[in-house]
Amino acid sequence: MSEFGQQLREFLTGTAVGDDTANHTSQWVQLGDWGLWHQVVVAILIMLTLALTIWNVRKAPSLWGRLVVITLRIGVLVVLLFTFYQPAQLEETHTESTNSILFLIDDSESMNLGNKHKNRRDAVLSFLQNQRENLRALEEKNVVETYLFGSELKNSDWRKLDQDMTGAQQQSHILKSLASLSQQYRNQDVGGIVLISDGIGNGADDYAVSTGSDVDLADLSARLNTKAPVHTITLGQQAFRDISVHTLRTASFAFKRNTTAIEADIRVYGYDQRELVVELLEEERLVRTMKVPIEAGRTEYTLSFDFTPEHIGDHVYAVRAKAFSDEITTENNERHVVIGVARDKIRVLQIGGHPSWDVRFLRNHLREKPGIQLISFFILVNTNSTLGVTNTAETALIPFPAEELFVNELPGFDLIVFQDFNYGPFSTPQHLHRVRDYVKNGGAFLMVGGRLAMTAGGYHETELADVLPVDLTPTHDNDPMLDTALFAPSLTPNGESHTITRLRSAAADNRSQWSQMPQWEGLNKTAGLANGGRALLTHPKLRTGNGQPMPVLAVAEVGHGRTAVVASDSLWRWKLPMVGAGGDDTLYDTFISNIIRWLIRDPELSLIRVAATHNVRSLGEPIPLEIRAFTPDYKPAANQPITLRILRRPNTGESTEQSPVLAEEKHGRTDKHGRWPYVFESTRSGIFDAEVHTLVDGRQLVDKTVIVVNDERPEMRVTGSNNRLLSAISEVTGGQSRSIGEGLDDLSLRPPRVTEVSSRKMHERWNVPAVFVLACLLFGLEWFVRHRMGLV
Amino acid sequence: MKPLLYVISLLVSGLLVGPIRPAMAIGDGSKLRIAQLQYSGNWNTRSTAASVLAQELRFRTSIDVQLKSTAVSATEKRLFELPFTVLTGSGRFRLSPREQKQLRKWVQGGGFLFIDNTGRTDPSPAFDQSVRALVKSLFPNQELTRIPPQHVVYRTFYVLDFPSGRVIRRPFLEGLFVEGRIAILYSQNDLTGAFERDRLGDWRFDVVPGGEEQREKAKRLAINIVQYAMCLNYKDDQVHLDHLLHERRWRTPPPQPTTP
Repeated sequence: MSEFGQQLREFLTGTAVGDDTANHTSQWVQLGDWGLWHQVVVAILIMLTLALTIWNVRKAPSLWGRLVVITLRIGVLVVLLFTFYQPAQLEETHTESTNSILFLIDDSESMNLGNKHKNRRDAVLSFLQNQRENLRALEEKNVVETYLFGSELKNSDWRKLDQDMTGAQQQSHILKSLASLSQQYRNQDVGGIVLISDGIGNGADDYAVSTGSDVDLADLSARLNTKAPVHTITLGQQAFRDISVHTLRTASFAFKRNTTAIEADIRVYGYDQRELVVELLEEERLVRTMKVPIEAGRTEYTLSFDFTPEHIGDHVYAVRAKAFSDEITTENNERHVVIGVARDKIRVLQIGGHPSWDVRFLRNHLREKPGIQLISFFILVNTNSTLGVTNTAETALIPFPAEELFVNELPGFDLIVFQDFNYGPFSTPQHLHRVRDYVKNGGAFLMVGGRLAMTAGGYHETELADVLPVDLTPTHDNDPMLDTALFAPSLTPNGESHTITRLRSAAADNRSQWSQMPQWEGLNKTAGLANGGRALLTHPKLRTGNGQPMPVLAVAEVGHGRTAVVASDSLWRWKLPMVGAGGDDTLYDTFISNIIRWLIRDPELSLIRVAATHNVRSLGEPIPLEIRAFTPDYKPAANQPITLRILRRPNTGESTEQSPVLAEEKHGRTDKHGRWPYVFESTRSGIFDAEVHTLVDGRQLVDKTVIVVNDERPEMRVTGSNNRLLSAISEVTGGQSRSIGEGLDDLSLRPPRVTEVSSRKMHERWNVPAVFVLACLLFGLEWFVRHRMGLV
Repeated sequence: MKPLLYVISLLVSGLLVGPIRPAMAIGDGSKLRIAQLQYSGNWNTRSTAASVLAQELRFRTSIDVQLKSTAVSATEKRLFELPFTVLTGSGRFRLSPREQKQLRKWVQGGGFLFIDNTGRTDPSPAFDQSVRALVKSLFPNQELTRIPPQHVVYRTFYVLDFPSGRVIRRPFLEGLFVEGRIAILYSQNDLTGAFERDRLGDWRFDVVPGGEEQREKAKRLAINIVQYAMCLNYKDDQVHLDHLLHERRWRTPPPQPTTP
C-alpha cells in the first residue's frame, strides 16, 4: 500500500495495531459503559425506528425499493449502535521481570570439620569458585542472592564468601533458616533455593523431622513453606573419625528399685573392626558397660541401658563412649541426663520378737496403707519351754531367714523395724553390722521397745547401738532397765516442732493434744541421748544418769540414714484404749505415718522444695528454678526467708578442686503464693547442686536438686553429614539433590511468574472519520432512494 | 520374695539353742489377757477354759499372756484394754442397746470377739439365734459368713484342716469381717468345752468323736485363733504361703457331721 493510502486509512480508521506476540497483545474493549436500562431504551428506539420505516415504505411502488430503503435504514441504525457502544482496541506491550535465585550456605562450626588438608568450608569455597561461570550465567537472567546461615541468617555475596564464611555460628538451624528466607521473600518471585550444607541441623525443627537416618517427609513437608524448589548440595562424608553420643532417651523420673532404661543413640564415623565401649554412670559411679563391635559402613547404634535406681532424689546419669585416640573431637563422647527417682511403694521389714498388741496394731496400720509393701517376721514360738511345740511339721512355723534378709535383701527395704526383738537367738548377731551400714548408707531404722528391746535385748555395745539415737547401758539384770509404771510422755522443745510429733497442725493444738493422749505403760530405760540424737518425747519423772530427762522417743541422722527409738511397747494404747476413752485413734496412724515419712525422708513431707524446669542445659542458657515453701500445715508460706546455695561439684578432670565450690548464694523471700522464682545463669559448665534452706518453727529445712550445665557445642553432637535430610528437603520441594562434585549445570529453576505492562494504548474505533462518512453516505443514499420512489 | 528367703536360717522352733529370755511385755497392760464377756444370762458356761488356754499359749507360743482371765461387761471402759474377748453361752441372751453400742465401737476399734456355742449335745439354737441377732444389730449390713478352709486362721500357728471342739457338729467357723480382718469369729463346736477343767484339774468333758486327739486339735485351733487376733493375716504374706505350700504335702479330711 502506498504511503498516501496508508495515511488515508489511518485518517479514516485510526492507527492500526500490530499482531499479537509474546510481549505484545491487543484486544477489543467497549468504552460505552451503559447500564441495562439505557440499552433497553436504545433497543426499543431501534425497534420503533424500524417499525416506522416499514410503515412509511409500505406504499412504495416496488418490493425492491422497499427492501433497499429498509436495508439502508438498518445500516444507519447499525452505525448509530456502533457509536453508542464506543468500541476501541486496547494495545498492550509487556516486559518480563527477573526472579531471584537464593544461595543458602551453612556457616556453622561443623563446617570447619574435616581433615587437615581440607575441611567442609574449604570444599564449599572451592565448589563456588569452580562454578563461577554458572553463577555469572545465572546472574544474567536472575538476581542471585547469597546467605550464610547457622542459628541466624546473614546476607553475603558469593564472590566474598572466603571473607564472610567463618564457620563461627554455634548452631545450624536448617529448616528455620529456610523458613526465614521464605518469609523474607514471600512477596517476591523466587526461582529456586540452592542449599549447601553438611546437613547437621540442630534446631528444634531439624530434630523434629530427622532422627538420624530417618526423615519424616510428611512432617518436613508441613514445616517447609517455600514454594520454590530447594536444590541441595551435599558435601559427602569427609575422611575423619569420630564417635558421639547423639541423644539420650529416658523418662524424667523413675521409681526406686524398679528397673528403668536409658536409650542412647551413638554415631560412629570412620571406624570399623573395633569395639565400641559405652558406659552408664550414675553420679560418676559406673553402673553398666556395653561393648558393641563396630560394623563396616554402619554409623548409627542404639544401646539400651537397663538399671535399677537405688536412691531417692534427682541423680545425674551419664552415658560415655570411650574415646579413641584419633577422634576428631571427644567433647561429644559423653551426654548427661537427670532422672528424679521416687518411691512407688515403701518397703517395710517388720521383725517382731513375739506377738503382742503393739505388734498387731503396728502391722494393721502398715498393711492397710496402699503405699506400703510390708514384710513381717514374728517369732511365734516359745523356744524356752520344754512343753512347747515338738513337731514343727504340724505347724506353720517357718525358719527365720536371717541370711537372706540381712545379706541379700537388706538394701531393698526403705525401713527396718525391730519391734521388741532380741537378736541373739536368731542368727542375727553376725548381721547387726549390716543393719548399721544400711542405715549409714541411707536406710531407715526404727527400734520399738519392750522387754526384748534395747539394753534388755542385749544391744549394748553391738554394731547396731552405733546408729541408735540413745546410748544403751550395759546389760546386768533386765529389771533395772525397765520401768513398768504408767506415764504420759512430755514433748521436748524439739518435739514441739518436729514432724514426727506433730499430731495437730497448729502448735498450741498440738501441745493440747499431747496432754490428752492416753498414758503409756512401761519404758525401756537408757543412758540418755547418743551423740547426734534428739529427744522428741521424754519421761515426765525419770532421769538418766546425768540428770537429763529419760528419752521416750528419740531420733538421729546417722550418715545418710535416719534412726528412731520408741522406748515403750504400749503405743497400741493410742488405738483401742483411745477409742474407749472417746479419743481419736487416727492420731496413732498419724504418729506412725509421721515416723515413717520422716525416717525415709519422704519428699512430700518437705516444707521447702526446689525444682529446675530443665535439669540439663547448655552453658549460657538460663535455668529457671522453682522454689516453694510451705507452712507446717502445708499451706503456701508467704514472705518466707529462703537461702539458695548453688555448689559446683568438683570436676573429676580437675585436680585442683577437691570439694564443692560455692557458685552462687542468694537470699530471698517467697511471694504470697509461697514461691520464689529464681533464674540461675552459670558462667561455668559442670554439675551443680542447688540447695534451698529455710527455718520453720526453729527447724532448719533443706531441699536440693541437681543441674547439669554442659559446654558441649551443639555442632559437635554429631559430626557426620546428614545427606538424607538434605535430599529429603529437595524431594518435598521439587528440587534436586546433588553432591558437591556435580556442579550447578541445568538446575531446574522456576521461570519468572511476574510480567509487567510496559505500555498501554487505547485506539477508539467509533470516533474516526470513517464512521462519520459511512453514516453520511447511508443517510444520503436512503434519502435519494426514497426521493426516487416518491416517498419524500 | 525369692524362695531363697527361706533357705538359710535356723528353725524358729526346736532347733534354737542358747539362752533365751521369756518374751514379755514391759507392763501387764500390754500382755494378752483373755476376757470373758459378761451379759445378762448364763455367760460363764466355761469358767476355766480361758486360764487353760492361757497356760497352753504360754507353753507353746511366745505370746506374753496373763494366766488369770478376767470377766468384763460391754459397758465397762475396761473392755477397751482387752482386745481379745470370748463370749460363751448355751441359751438365749440379749445385750442392751448401750452394751451393743459399746461392743460395736470396741469391734470397730480393733477388738476381737470369739463366740463359742457351748450347747451340750448340739449347738444351742437359742444361743445361735441370739448370736445372729446380736451380729445383725451390731452390723446391720453384714452377716456371719463361713470361713473357708484356706483361711489363714487355720495356719496362723498350727496347720489345721478343719475346726474342732468338744464336739464337731459344725465343721466350719463363721466370721464377720471389719476392714479386711475377722473381727467376730463364731464356733458352734463348744471349742472352750474341749479344755474346760474341773476343780480337781481333770478334763470336765469328754471330747467326741475324736477323743484326746480331737482335744489337741481343739487346743491348736484356739491357739490359732489367738495368734490370728494378735498377728492378723501375717501368715498370709506370700513368703509364708510359698513356704507352707512347699513343705506340707499331707491333708486330713474333716469327720462327717453326725446327724442328731
